[in-house]
Amino acid sequence: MEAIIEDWVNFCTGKKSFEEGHFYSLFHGINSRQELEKIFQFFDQKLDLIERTKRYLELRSSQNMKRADENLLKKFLHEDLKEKETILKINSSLREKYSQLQIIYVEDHKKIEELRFDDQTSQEFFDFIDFELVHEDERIDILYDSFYGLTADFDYRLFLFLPFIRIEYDMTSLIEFKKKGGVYAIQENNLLFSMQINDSSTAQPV
Amino acid sequence: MKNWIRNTVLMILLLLASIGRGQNYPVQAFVQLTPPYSSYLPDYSDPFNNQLKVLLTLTDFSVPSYQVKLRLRIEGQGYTIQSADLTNFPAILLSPGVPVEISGSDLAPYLATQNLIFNGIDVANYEQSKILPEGPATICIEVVDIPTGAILGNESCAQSWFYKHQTPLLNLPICGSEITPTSPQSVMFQWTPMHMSIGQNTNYQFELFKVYPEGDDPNVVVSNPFLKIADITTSNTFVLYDLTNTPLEIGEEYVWRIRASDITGRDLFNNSGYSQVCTFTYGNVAGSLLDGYNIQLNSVGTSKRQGKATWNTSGIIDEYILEVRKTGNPNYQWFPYPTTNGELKVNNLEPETEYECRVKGKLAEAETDWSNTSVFTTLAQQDYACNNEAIPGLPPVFKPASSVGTGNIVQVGQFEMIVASAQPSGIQGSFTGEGVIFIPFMMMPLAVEFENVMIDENLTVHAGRVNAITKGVAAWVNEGVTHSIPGTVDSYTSDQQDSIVVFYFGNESLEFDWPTPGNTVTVTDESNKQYVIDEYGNVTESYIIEYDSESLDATANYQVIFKEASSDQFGFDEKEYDPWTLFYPCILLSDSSKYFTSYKAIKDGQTDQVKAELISDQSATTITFKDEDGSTYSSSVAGNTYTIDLNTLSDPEYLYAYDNNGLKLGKLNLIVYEQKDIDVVLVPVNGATATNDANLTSYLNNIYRAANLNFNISTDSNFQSTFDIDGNGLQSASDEELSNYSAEMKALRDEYFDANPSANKDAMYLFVVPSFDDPTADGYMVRGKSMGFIKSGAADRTYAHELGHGFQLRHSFPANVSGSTTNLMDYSNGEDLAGFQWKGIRDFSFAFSFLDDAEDGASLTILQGKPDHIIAADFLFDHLGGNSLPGSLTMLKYVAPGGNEVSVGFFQELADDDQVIYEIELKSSMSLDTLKQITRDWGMDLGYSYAYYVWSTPTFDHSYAVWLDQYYLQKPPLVVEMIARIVAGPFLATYGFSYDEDALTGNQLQGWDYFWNALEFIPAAAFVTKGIKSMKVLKNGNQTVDVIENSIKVLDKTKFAKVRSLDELAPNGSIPPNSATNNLFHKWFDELSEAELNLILQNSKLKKTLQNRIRWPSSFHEWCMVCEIQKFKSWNVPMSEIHRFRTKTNSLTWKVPSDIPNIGGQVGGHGATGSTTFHNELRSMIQNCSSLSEFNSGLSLLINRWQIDPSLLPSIIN
Repeated sequence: MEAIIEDWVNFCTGKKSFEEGHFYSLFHGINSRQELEKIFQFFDQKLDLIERTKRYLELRSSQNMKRADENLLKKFLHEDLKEKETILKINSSLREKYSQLQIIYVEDHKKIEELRFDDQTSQEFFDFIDFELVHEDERIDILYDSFYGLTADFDYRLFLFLPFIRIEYDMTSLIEFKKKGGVYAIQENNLLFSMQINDSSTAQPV
Repeated sequence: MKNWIRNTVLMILLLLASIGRGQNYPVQAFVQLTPPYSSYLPDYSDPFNNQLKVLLTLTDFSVPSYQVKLRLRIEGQGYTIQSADLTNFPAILLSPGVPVEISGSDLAPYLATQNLIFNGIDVANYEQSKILPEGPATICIEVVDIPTGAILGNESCAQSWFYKHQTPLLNLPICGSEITPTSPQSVMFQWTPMHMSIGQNTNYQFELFKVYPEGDDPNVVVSNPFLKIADITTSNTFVLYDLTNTPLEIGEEYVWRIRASDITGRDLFNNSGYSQVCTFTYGNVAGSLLDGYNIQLNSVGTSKRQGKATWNTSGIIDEYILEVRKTGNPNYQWFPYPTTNGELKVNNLEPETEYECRVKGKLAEAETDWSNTSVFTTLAQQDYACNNEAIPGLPPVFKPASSVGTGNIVQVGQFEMIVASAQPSGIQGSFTGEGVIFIPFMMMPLAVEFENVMIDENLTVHAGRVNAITKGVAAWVNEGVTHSIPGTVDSYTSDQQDSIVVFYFGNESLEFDWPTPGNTVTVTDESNKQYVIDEYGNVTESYIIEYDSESLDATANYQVIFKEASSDQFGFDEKEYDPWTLFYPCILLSDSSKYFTSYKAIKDGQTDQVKAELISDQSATTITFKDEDGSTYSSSVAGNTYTIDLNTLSDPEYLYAYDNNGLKLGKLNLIVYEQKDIDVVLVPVNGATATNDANLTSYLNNIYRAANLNFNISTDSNFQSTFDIDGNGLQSASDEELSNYSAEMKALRDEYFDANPSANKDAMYLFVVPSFDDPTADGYMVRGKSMGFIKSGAADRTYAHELGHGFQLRHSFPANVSGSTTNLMDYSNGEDLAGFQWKGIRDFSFAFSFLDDAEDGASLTILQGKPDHIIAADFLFDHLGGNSLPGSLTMLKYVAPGGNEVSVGFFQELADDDQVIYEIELKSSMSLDTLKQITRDWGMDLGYSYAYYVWSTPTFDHSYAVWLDQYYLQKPPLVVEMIARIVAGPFLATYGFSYDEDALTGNQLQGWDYFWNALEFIPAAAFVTKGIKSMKVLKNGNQTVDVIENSIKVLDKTKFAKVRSLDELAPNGSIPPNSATNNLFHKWFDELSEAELNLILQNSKLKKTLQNRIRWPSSFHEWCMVCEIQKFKSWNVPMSEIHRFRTKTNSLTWKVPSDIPNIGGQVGGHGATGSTTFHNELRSMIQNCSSLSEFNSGLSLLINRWQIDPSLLPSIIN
């Protein structure tokens, strides 16, 4: 078992403190359910967290070898947009942006990756999510950062973190989209998407 | 005598009685045994050694003779030896009355073995040595008649104690010692015989062995003949072991012993004559290596706290001991500094002090001789003014300090930090700990902590942060701050309910919170009185003491006190009035008693005398007197009182008293001034009569002799004036501070000088008027001005008193109770002037001006307190030298160009953790409403206070203090003087800006916008356009410093920037998103100051957003780690570079270094095997880097260590 998990236990039990960012790599050496149980033992959402993390790890280790149906991916995105609109009801301007998005397939997934950097709408969406994340429990905030350390992906991080958030957004569609190699970027009023096979830039095994 | 006779008679009678009983035997026998009692029995028959004698006397005169033989019997412990057969003994013929002695060889038959019967002793053993057992024994003789065998005499016995001789005692070389080898070899071995010498009949066998193997038991060694290297027999008690003998080996241990033996072969000695063994070591290798090695020492003072000593080194020397002490007294203790190098920097020394040092080398137990003694002087303390932007230079090459510990004084920018604790933190030269910084101009110690600061070998911080340990300014200010009250405290109350102490002064009051537990709050007032408030609200009163930086060797019971001589000519002043305690530099003696130094004035080129009284509980000593240059002053002594002849030949400033041992026991301040001519014109007005000018001249010259003023007084003709319009005498000025003239005074002045345009403007004018409207007034003079008013008929003292005001002197009250002193400036008959007043007079510029209008406004005129200190306090701070401000220095006054008088007081601030709130307190005729309106015009919503965001610096974000001076506004239009001081990290900046009313309109107020946007208003033109061209303040009485110019310099060269608020930085909590088209986020980040970045990171929501922006669009490994973003900001790395400098996480793979347990050698990658270790190493590397170039280098090493494909790493950041 990784020493960092021992650190985590000591931190959660108040025995030790660590500098900020220390647990960025908390999940980097995970290879057993026991380790996940040890990490999440301090939270009521323990089982949900374990299952989600397991699911992510399994998903990450599976190779996306087959080309998915474009329409299926589009459907997933469409469902996801509907979910997002629901949770954005308290942010009318952002909701309006999402409601106007046209879902368009792009063949070149690298183009999507380039456009992704310029995706201000998605950045605003995650800003919105982050602003909803109010936790007095420092451990949860640190876990949030650790999830990014694990996934290096904002969507997957949010997926893992959902047990701590009270929003009506389960991300099922988006995870299915990404599981099949889907990548997306919002460019003005267009939700552009593509797929990458065995060359994921977001959640592929290393 | 009678007793003696009686006793003698008794003795004789007893003897006769005894003889009477012995008369039964015809022969009297007597055995005489003389020590030493040899146990070798044949010794007693030695013909040359008559130790045993037998005396026989025939006392029977009735017979012609007897032939007798003797029977010998020796009895000892457990044995008996007696004569066997008397036939072998010769007959002894005894004649009556003729004593016969048998001794020496005559006794041989009696002692021959064959003639003896042994009981308890083995005859065969005895025969080998003929030694009787050691112990007590009795030798008895019986006289036997030959013919009859009858006993003819009494048995006579002698007591003996047979023993063997003690073996020699080994003296030299001392057992166990190390002897110094010589060349040629020469070692003296010497011992002492422990037996009584019986002629030259003892031989000594000297045996020398080499101890081998090393450490072997010496007693074993001497039993090994193969280890014997010398065997010398001598009858002497020494052996000179020289080059003819087997060479001794350096560093080897030897053992030696002596065997004493009787030359005749008698076994007379214990242990067969062998002494105890004794070892010695013949020198040591180390010592031989160091022999003749000379160390040449050089030294130099490298900073105010450090000296550096260098010397020639040798590889054979293990350690050097450098010793350092102050010069000047051989009794000073040396302080050792061990080192292994040929250079040592000695820290924590006193500034501007001469030290001497010496060094010696050590190798094992061996040491070299001391080197030459080298002398160095530490550099002078540099005073940093608040507007002094100079930062002590750092050497270009960082040489890390090997250690930093408690008590070390570390230079942090302009400040010195006394280290309370420090621990190494990572790389060499990096330390983490706590300490205290004393900020001179702020007059307070500041507790600080530091983490991973880089400290060089000179104990100077090169990089890193030193943060104040404070919970905001309010808490900090509460921790040991000295507050000044602009007045003299009349009374105070400690309010238990509100936990405050209220000080009342005049018609005002000030409240102070009780300090937090363990802290105190110190409040001083203008009378130099100090009030210390403790955590329980208790107030302790005392007067401020200014401690002299010098030390004395004196104690309360051993010191020299200077006194005024009866022949004193030019003035002597000692501390007399407690409220003036401050003005007498005090030296804290080693026994914690205080020594206040007095003042003695001497006119330049003149001589004078002073007395000195020795207080001593020690033996008589002679005191000598020297000045600071070492010039000796002659003195005479009567009892313990010395009279010293003073002169000014060496332009002395101090006189010291030394005892026989060179101990410094006393100090006197010598005040030497050249003569200063003062022209005074008496102007009798409207028939008033001035005093006799000749008498006044003499009087004033005497009063002001200590300041060496020479008055030239003339009396003008009576001047007719119309000033007294109301006919009630000269209108008195209302200003208790003596800072302005009344309208009638101005009218008289103008009238006179209009009528006398050629009047001497360098002279002082005293208008003698018939009366004042205030019947109690005798005179009036504005302090620092040359024009005064005297009531006709006033005593000469009044003239002297008013002129004192002209020389800037203040009244002796309210510091002292009015009328309680003999001082000239009191309302009494006193004519004395104190030492600080002498200096005050001469420090005054004498740039007289009798005018009281705008033309004076361009220069600062100090109206209160000691000029040097006032200037230092509020503008330059360069005379403070770390001392506390005198309590009286709470206010400056000067005349602004527009003719308005401005009073500048010290700060008063209210603060909380996030904001500093300044309060402008009014003390003028201006109403609060007026001020509010004015400040609204400035664009500020002035209620009763103002709130500003705290200013900060790019490098120092948590510890700061902004002080704003408090203003006392006297006259409309408002004149504002503001100085904001920002203390941050190693930087110290003063933001000074001073505005007055518009010279043209007279009522335009300007300046606030400058405060808000200081950097935009830096150019000097800003000042010029605001109507003030310069503000020069006096320094040391004759220099001027342009405050504005200084302020501008500081502002130009510092890079302080206002820290924007979170609302300004992230309106609505929003940070610009990444965008390839406009790069708003990049620009936003690049414009952040370090302090602002810290502010963002302290907000959890904004921190998340910022992290998202940096990580966007995700899937990248940031080599500029997000968690260390502050580091990259400090290196001014733009966000575009941070974004460029990253690698796709899924392509980042490595081979885990082999030294990492369990996983070493495995292939891993981001998020997989070794990922935690890799991230930890990367982060540690970043944290230990102090520059971007170091980061690039470190990254290169890391990539190499983890065998990461270099092509995965973008080109390095430039």
